[in-house]
Amino acid sequence: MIKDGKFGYHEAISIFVITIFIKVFFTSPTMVAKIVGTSGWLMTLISALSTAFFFTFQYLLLKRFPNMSQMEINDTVLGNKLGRLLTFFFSAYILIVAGIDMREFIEVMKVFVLPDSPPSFIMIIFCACIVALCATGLETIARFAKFIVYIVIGGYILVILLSIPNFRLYRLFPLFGYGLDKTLITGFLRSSYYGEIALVGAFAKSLQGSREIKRIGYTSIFLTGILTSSACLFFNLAFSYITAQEQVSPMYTLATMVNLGTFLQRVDPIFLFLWNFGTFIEVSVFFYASMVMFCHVFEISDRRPVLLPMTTILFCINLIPKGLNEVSTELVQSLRTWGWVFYFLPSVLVLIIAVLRKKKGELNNA
Amino acid sequence: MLKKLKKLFIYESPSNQEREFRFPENPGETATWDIYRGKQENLEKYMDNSGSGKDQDINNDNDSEYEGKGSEHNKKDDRSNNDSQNNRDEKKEKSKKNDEQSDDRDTRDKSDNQADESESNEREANEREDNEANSEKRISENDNDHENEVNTPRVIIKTLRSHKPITVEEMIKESMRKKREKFKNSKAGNNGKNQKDDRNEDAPKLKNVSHSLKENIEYLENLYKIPANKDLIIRKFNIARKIPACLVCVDGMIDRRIVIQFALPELMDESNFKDYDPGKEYILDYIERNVLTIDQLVRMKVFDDINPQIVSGLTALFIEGCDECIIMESRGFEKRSVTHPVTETVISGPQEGFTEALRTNITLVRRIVKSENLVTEFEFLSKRNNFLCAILYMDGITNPRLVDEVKRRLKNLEIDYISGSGMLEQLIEDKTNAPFQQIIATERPDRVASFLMEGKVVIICEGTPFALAMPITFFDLFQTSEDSNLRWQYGSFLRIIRLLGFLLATFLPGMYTALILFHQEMIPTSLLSSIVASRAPVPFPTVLEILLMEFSFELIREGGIRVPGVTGNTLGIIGALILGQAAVQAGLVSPVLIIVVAVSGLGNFTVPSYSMSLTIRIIRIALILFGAMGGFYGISAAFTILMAFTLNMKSFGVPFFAPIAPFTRSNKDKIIRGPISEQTYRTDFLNTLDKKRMATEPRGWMRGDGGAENDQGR
Repeated sequence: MIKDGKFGYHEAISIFVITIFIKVFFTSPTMVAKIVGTSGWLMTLISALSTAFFFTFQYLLLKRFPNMSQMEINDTVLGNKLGRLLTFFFSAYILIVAGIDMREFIEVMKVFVLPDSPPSFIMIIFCACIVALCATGLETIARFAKFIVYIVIGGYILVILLSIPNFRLYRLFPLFGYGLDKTLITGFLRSSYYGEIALVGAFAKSLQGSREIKRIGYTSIFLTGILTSSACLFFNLAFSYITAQEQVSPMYTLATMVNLGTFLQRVDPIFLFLWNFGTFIEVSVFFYASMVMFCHVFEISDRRPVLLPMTTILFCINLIPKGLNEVSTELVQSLRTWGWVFYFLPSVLVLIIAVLRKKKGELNNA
Repeated sequence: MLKKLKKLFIYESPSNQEREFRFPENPGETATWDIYRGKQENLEKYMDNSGSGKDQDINNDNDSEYEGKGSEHNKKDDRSNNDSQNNRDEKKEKSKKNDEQSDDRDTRDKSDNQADESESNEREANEREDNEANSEKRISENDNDHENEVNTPRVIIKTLRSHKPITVEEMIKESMRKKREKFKNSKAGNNGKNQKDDRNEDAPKLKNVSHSLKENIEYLENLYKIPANKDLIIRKFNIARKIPACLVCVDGMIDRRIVIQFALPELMDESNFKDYDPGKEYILDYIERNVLTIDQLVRMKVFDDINPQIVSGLTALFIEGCDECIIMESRGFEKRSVTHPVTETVISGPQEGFTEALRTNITLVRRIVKSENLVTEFEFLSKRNNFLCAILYMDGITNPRLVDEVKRRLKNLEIDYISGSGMLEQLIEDKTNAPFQQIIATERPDRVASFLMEGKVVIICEGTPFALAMPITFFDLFQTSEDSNLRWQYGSFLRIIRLLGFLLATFLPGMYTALILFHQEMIPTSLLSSIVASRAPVPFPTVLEILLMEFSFELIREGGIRVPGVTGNTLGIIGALILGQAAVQAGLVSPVLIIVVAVSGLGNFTVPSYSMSLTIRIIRIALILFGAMGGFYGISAAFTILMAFTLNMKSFGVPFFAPIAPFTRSNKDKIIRGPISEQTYRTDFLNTLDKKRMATEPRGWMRGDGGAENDQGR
């Protein structure tokens, strides 16, 4: 029996910070450089603000239905059939997101670390980690995230500090990149970058009430906004925007550029650990949320039997993209641009319907 | 008349059946034998005494069966049959004199004699029959001969119950018939069943101490398989030369001086009972208050409680007519004296370690925690070996729910044998498949004291020099009692060294494998060239080379432990040096690898917990394999899987990585040990009743008048 368990403020923030921030280690900064040029740091702040705006709707919804998860709210507001259909689609979507993120990681790993290993070998090890984490429950994932978040952020700061000799201030200009309007629009659309915060609805029952959810949501968005913006800023300082557009993983390249004396050279393998742990957590969180929703839709009380079949589906989703180019330019780009439709729009719609139909949670009715 | 005279002067060799005859030993038995001999008065008395209840009869039946079965008394009686025969003749002579005074009595005696004669004739006839039977049958019959002796009065009692007159001859015939039937049945259906099993089946199921001393003794004799079992001592005697009693103890487990000097003489001395008035005072009360000069006396009624005490070295006193016994403290078995702890040596701090004696260990703890709030509860655990353990906790500090949980787990153990604390630890821990231990074992009383004061529960077991403390977290495994004895800077430094040792021992060989096989670019060029040069003559792949070295190192370590005395340490050092040197010279391993394995081995030794060091050794092998498969990616994956299971672990409800994951309030006493004066609160995750350990500023001399502003110290 896999139990969600309960976890607190620190663990929840750790989960969302890792899940959102880890994307900066992959191809996302490259895409940002391609779209908005040097103003990626500003664009991501706008994305964070947009996400905070959308999250407000989700928070209001969760506040309206206290002690209920997003899936239960969907059922209550939309009825059993429509609510479960919505939950099922969302479950499928985040499983696909998990698969794409995993494939992105595997492709980058193949480029930098394991060029001779077949992707399926890397996938099998990855899937074993997901099964181990998900089999022990959400509480364990949260604790692992809490344990790892310090290492990830510490490693990130270390890489940035060691890369300071490569920074050039003039690379930041022009400050608004390809134009402020483009930066603003892209920033709004790419709010999907922070879309993982929507999973708070799936894990609402493991958190300590709606007030805590509010704190967790906004704090996570704020922290990841700051971290991602700083990362984009440092990439801009380290690479000219033309060079940045050609990087597979700017962060990894930044780590390879470390050259302090004759001993402290190339710390990229150390950086590899942060990358691995962060991605294991990110994909596990997506996978677990998908599994929770799937089990809710089909009223499966014991999730353990579902674990291996869903891992097989995840493995198969991983095999669909042809290569890194397809993953980074098409799939990831689509997810980042239109992901908000899946992450936030359902919550907004459900809230509106709940208000119109005057549906409320038990505590609010009392 | 002539025949009687002849019996007086001419010795006749008694027949086999006569040899089995014995005189009754107690009043109840006398009545039974009187019935056997046809004395109507006693018979009526017996019926009155036995009451109309069916149970009483059943008990008597069982008693008599016991009397006949497997008892050493019977053998003794056999040996003294000649004396019995003479006594019987004397008695008959006396009765003959009495016969002259009373016709009725004369008649009865005659009938007695007739009955005896007919009885002996019948028995002779049976003997002949037995001789005709095969040898196997005869052996079985001889085994059951005692039953014959007993079955006879049983038949009488049953017959009397129906008020049907019956002669002695009929009775004997009936008993012999039943004997034959029983023999046939046993041969037909119970071929595989030995006598021992029969005896156990027939054993009285006494739950409480009986009023009858004989019954209690029989129960104990049967329970302890006497006479086969030579360990149990049942010393029968008379209290003040009047009241039958017995002392029961296990040879070797008791201090004989207590029994010889303070129990037996006091109980047997008539002068000690001058003031005793049976009408006013219960004998056990009197003995407890006025006779026995032993410090610890407990009364018990239930044999299930009494037996563990007896086998633990206490002495039980059973008295005729009392339905409870007195348990006297008399433990005095051989034990090791208090010495240095073997596995947890420290430079600064107490040098005492636990021994195998439970009482000594508890005393060692009590010497440190001199508090009325220190509660020690005892529990017998296993069903067969009555494994005794003590549960220690601080009343008013420890969370009662934790204590209840520990007790619940202990009480619900259904196992016949527990050898020691190690086995108990495995039986009560939360997850048996988890990589790390969930209970900490220590042989230091001062550490146990600090655990208790922290709000943990401690179990000390009989026969083991280790105490078990629970619940624990990961960080407890790196702490020693020395940490708090040193200034906080030194204590923190030592903890960091230990943590680094742990990390090196766990990850270094795996990382080395990954670096050599996958991430050569990370190694600085000069270092890489020296590694390549040293590895050039080595014919094995890196992973095989490192596994070979690790295996050799483990062999040396295990061999060093098993070799006795100083030779073991010497073997370890010399073995490692010679083996390493020889391996490098032979070109089997590279010198860098020797350094890697040696450093990881040394790191392993810095970990204070032995179980933890074993865990590290196992994890290390797994990480080497994963490192060889996928480099740092493989190690990350292995670490993630390990952490998934470890973070899921709980020790008695406390998450293993508390207070970091989950985050809870705690003192600066995880990896960095802060100043003692700043450790104001107890650990939050233990939910102790008293959360505050000291005042906000425990150094009162720093405050207020005469405090910091005082210049006395300048």
